Amino acid sequence: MDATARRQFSVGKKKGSSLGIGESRVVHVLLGALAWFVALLFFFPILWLVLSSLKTELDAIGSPKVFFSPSLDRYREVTSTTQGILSFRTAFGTSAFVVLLSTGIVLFLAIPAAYALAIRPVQKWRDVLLFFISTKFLPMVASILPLYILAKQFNLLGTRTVLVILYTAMNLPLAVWMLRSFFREVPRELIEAAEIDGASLRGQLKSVILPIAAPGIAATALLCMIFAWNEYFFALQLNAAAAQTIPIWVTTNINEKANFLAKLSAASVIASVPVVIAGWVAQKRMIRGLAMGAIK
Amino acid sequence: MASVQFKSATRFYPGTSRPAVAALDLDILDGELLVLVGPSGSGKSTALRMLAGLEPLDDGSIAIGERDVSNVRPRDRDIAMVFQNYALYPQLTVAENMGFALKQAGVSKADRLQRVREAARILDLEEYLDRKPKNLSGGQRQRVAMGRAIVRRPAVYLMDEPLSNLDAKLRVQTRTELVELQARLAVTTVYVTHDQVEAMTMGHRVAVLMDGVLQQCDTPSKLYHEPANLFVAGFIGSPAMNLISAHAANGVLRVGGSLLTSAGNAATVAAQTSAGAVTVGFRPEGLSIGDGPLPGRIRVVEDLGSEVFVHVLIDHQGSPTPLIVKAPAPFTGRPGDEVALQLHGTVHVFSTAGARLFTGPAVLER
Repeated sequence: MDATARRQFSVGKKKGSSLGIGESRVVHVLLGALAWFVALLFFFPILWLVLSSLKTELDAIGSPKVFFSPSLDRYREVTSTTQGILSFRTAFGTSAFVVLLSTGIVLFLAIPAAYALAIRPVQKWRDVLLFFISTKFLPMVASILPLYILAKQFNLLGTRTVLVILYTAMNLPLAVWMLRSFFREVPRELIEAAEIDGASLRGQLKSVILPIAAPGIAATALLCMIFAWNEYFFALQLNAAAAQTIPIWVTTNINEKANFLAKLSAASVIASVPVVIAGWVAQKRMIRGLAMGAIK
Repeated sequence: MASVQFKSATRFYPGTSRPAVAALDLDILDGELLVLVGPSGSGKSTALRMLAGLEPLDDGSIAIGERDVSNVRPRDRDIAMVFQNYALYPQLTVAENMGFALKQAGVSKADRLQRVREAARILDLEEYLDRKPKNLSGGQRQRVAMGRAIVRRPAVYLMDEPLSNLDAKLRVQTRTELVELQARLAVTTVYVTHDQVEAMTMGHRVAVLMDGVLQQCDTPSKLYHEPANLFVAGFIGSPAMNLISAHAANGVLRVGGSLLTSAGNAATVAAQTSAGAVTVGFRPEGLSIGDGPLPGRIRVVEDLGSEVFVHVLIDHQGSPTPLIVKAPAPFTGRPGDEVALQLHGTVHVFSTAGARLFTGPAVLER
């Protein structure tokens, strides 16, 4: 291209324009504004929750004030007023125990399963995959009666064990599906190279597959943890007061006699914080993991 | 170091009725660089993978040295393999990649380091030992993959199109280095490629495969000058051999309107087979433009500087038939020019089934 042609080409357009050919700036700006509006619409309830948690109970139920003196008193109240099995400390301990143990067991079982489905597919692997996901077809509420009877029979009602078992079972199909997708991304040649280089099956898994699939495993683990952390229904039905988890603890702040909106908000914020931190730390991996596991 | 023997080695992929490799018999000598070449789907990579132990045998056997390895796991076969995409472990450094197999074999750290350094020196990789593969260029990655194989000092090297991801210039350079390295290490090497130029320039012997069947295994020169059949004749050589169908009638073979006369009398041999229907083949360098009995018209002129490939259309058996002529540079003809062709090299005659019936010098007469 000679100088004249180049000059002609650049006339009328700023360098590095973000507009594509045939796109109008007005439409661009309007679409951007719409996106912001929708995003704020979604974010507003969370903002409202956080603000309410910083108010007094009276302010919280009154007509919304723009200016108020924020305080952390509600947080202090919800984390210190109740004692024993109903205390925040116990609930947090129970949740952490149940979430970490069930996620650990899920990974321990799902990694070999995903290997068998992705890297060396066993016969009828499609049927196996369908079977795994079919366990998620049944609505939770439909399974509660048999689960309750079984839990009662084995003396597991009100224990942490029953939650560990249920959360493991609940997350296992999802974890197998997700990990299978990640394992399939490990180049076959790498596994073959390791095989020729003398690595045993365990060696291949340890030194080739797991390091490469590590982001995927992290994403899977996080998702399992979040689902288990947020689970309310089973915890309420099978476990309720005896060993309450964080979601149950949040609801214990509902009080029939007095105003509770600010306290409930504070409890809700506390319950969300671990998930938000976890999600923020692994944002990119999470998105990739969800996209791969769920859509592909 | 060891020889390698394929004995009727056969492999069917699950769910297929045609073998990917059919009853392959191949003896590879100790220290030899044997190239497996063929178009895609010819079974060359499968044959290599069978030798590596990555594909099980459905029939026959494979021996490395005196040992039958048909049922031996890959890691116990004493082989090293270089993959097309190099298959470097992304989370390990160059040094760790090269020492991986030694670590698996329980070699001490000091020994490992020494052997890795030695290989790195040979391959000019010393300054990259601490880098991760993603921070290397394509050529460097290729050398690390080579290094990983060298470090092991195996009985056999297996290479699956190791140069195909390099750009043209680097490919030619690496090709030469590889040949030198193989000669220096004198380790039996089986090399797979689809590129017949690579096969011809590198192989001590070249095995040509098609549809899982070995067509010919011979030195590059023999493959070029005495192809066993029509497929090998058409596959080996660039540009490809001119192949035209012809009919031997009344003891004569005609190319265009011209009579093909040869010392061994190709027509007589041709007439003895399938009612005289044959394929006649001659190399582009066996044709010349200038004085000759065969008229043609130039379609395209490809000037490579040192040589010129002239694509010509002749009238053969009533239809326009393309031929390629390798002409010395400089060449002054232009597309559309009418030219006269003469044949002065070797002519091959193949039966309709593709078998070679005749090879010998021939000329064209009016």
